[in-house]
Amino acid sequence: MTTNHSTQLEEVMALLDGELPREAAERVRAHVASCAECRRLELELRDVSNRMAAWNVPSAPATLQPRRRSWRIPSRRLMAVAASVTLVVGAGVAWWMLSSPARRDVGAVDTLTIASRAASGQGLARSRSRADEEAAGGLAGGVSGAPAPSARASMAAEQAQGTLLVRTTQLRVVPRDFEAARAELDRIIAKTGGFVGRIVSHGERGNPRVVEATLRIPAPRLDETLAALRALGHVSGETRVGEDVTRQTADLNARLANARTSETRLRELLERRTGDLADVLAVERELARVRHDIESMDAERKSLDQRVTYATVNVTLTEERQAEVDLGPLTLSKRLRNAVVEGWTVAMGLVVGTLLVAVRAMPTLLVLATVALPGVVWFRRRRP
Amino acid sequence: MLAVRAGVTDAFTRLFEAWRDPVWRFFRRRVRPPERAEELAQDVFTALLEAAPRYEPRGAFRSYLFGIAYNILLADRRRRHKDHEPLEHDVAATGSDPDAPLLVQRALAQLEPDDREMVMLREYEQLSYQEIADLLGMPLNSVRSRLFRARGRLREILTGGAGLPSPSAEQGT
Repeated sequence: MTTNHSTQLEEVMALLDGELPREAAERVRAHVASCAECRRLELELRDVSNRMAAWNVPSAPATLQPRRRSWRIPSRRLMAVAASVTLVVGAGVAWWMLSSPARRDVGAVDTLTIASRAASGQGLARSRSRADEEAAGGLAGGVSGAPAPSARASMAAEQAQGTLLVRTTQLRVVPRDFEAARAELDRIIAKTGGFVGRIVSHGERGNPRVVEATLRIPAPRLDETLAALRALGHVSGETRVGEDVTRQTADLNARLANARTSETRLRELLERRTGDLADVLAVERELARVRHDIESMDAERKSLDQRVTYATVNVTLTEERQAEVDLGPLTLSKRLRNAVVEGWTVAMGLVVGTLLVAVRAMPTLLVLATVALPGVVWFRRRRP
Repeated sequence: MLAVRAGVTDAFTRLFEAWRDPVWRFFRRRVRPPERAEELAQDVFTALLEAAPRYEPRGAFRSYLFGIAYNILLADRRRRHKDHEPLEHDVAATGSDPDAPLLVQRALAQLEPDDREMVMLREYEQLSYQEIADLLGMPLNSVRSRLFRARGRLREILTGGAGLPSPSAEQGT
């Protein structure tokens, strides 16, 4: 169907919808009033609207109520910042709790070069106190440690009463200065009137030097000798044994006296030469046996006397020294492995450093955000 | 809304009571089941409450309100991966013809989604052409021409006959 008017059909629709300006609305309204086609169009449009209005939706159910939250939902940006802060702080705390200087992963042992150093004073001071603790205790019967003052007094008393003791001490010292300690050892021996029974020094390449000495120290000067030896360095061990040889000595003396008496009688018999030759030979054989026994017992007594007179100190000086590991040239695979370990260590250090920077900066950023927030809100409200 | 922003007592309650049914009907005609429409309607008022502190009147509040509702509708459809949904078929009818609502729904279902939305926003939400254009992101002239064609198509479907005269048929001999 054709129309012949100056009004666009869409303007009729706009008129019905109230979308035309006042002047245009008057023009179109005037045209519609005089145009059958446009009137029909107007009716058809109203019919469409009326038909659509037939689809009515009932009122909202009573359950539809405003859902008021008791807390404000933070903006996505704020939640993102909070999540980042939580993540950074959590990672930093986890790293701090898990890390410790001893856990540094050095990877291949080949990369370590242990520096050679002399004994440290700190270690010695700690060990010396421990040695002092270990030094408490009795003496007789093989109990480790230096005798307490009361025990030493009892020793002197026992000796006064004829008690014969053989004292043997094992002492292990780690000198502060090995060379100086070696020289001091000789002076100590000379000063106390003792002598060296045996001394052995050894120190293979790469191993600490060791001096093992068996000293014979006059018994009355044992304590001062031990004190001087302890002063050489850190006492890593001490054992003192006191053997009571009084009865043994008495028995030996008695047997020796009897043997000498027997020898005297046998000599008298031999000098009288009474009896036949067989008897004489028998006396001579017995005399020889007795002489042998006497000499043996005499040697034993002398040894015992010396052991009582001179205490035995087995002292070991061990140089405190860590060997320098010389593994020779590294293979390519080891070098690659070392590079991976070092690179990983650097990367972890970078990550940790970045986390630390973020953790340090976060409180400042939060403060700045809190201060700047009112200004931002005000600016956004004022924005046209 | 300005009263809500100013913290006037019961301002939001009055706003809610005034727009509760229109918002409900907006979703009721576009989504199903009714529970989801109710949930989306609640989301609209929740969004209003949260946006109140920064609300600035730039036009009709109706346009602002249905703009929020439309965005919530689109977000819900994206979550459900649906561009559109079949319209509800069990709503009440007005008038003497009980089949009228069903006929309208079927007719609307035959329109293009944008055309259908355009007609519904005009007929039910009473939005202006400019408001529809802003909401749908279309030029104003496009909204007017497409709305005219959509209404013509609806008439054709509803009456089973000819639609509205075509604008290109004017200026005849």
